[in-house]
Amino acid sequence: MSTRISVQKPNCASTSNSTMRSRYKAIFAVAAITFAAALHLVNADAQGEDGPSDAQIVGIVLAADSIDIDYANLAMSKTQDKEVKDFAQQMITDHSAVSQEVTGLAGKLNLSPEDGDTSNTLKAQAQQMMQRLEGLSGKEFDKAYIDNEVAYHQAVINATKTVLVPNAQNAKLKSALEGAEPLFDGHLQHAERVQAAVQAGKSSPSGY
Amino acid sequence: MRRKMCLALTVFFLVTTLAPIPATRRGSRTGECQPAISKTAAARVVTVEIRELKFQPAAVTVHEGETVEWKNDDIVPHTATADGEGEKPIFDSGDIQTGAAWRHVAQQRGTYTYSCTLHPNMHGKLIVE
Repeated sequence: MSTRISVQKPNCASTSNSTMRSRYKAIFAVAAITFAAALHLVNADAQGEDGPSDAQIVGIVLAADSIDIDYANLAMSKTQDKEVKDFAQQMITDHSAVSQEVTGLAGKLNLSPEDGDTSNTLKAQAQQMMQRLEGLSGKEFDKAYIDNEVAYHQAVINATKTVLVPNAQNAKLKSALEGAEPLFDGHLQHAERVQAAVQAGKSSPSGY
Repeated sequence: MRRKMCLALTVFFLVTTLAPIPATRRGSRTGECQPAISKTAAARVVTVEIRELKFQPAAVTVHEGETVEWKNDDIVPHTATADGEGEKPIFDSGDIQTGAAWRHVAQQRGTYTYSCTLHPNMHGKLIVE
């Protein structure tokens, strides 16, 4: 029987200080506002007479996957924390798989992914977040990255439930979106667990 | 001459009597010492399919010594990891890649809840009787 043992290291939070904490809070607030704004925009689309078309929905899903893969690639190059690194690797693996599935389904349905206001705004806001994350390092980066992942997946789940699924016209696309919800929910729960470990300083340096 | 007749009849009797018996039964005493080829409980494998972020069936019951196999038919990797606060879970598959499977021999009676560590919203139950 193979086993995987999580080695817990002593509390490493002693290096935190009030300046870092306030910076974390500011970054988290920005992340929350960013994705709340993105979600608002998506909702605004849905509330209008014309919600996103199927082609635009595919474009939004692919953009959302691509954004999270970009964040994860940055995390892989920056973090020294094993749990954060494992989570980032999982995001690359899982979102790449989802992206491949969506692309395959879109091909079968003769849907060419289209950019719209929503996907363009998501990309622009993600670029700003990437710039912020690129300027951070160490525990500060880990905290900002995982906080952003929690906020991001909450926004994606809400958007999927309230906008993408209700507006999808094609039954297979609607079913695929509904099928993706548990995956995003799993990511959210995993991100929250890593977030708690990072906050408590219980995560382990990479390589242990 | 009579002795030769008796010998021939004995050989004929032995050949015709033993020939139809399968090789596994002929060595039954040896077979009892080789669980891999005997029809004991250890040979039974119960499969749990992992599909669409679910363990299916969500609960399985096996006897002590039987094998449980988790087969990943989903589009992303998963784990089957026993719940608990301890540092080392009772069982832990590690990452089961798409299309792969992992087997665990249930060696201790009890009821074990388990989860996927990658997607903590996935839960299952293993009952060992």
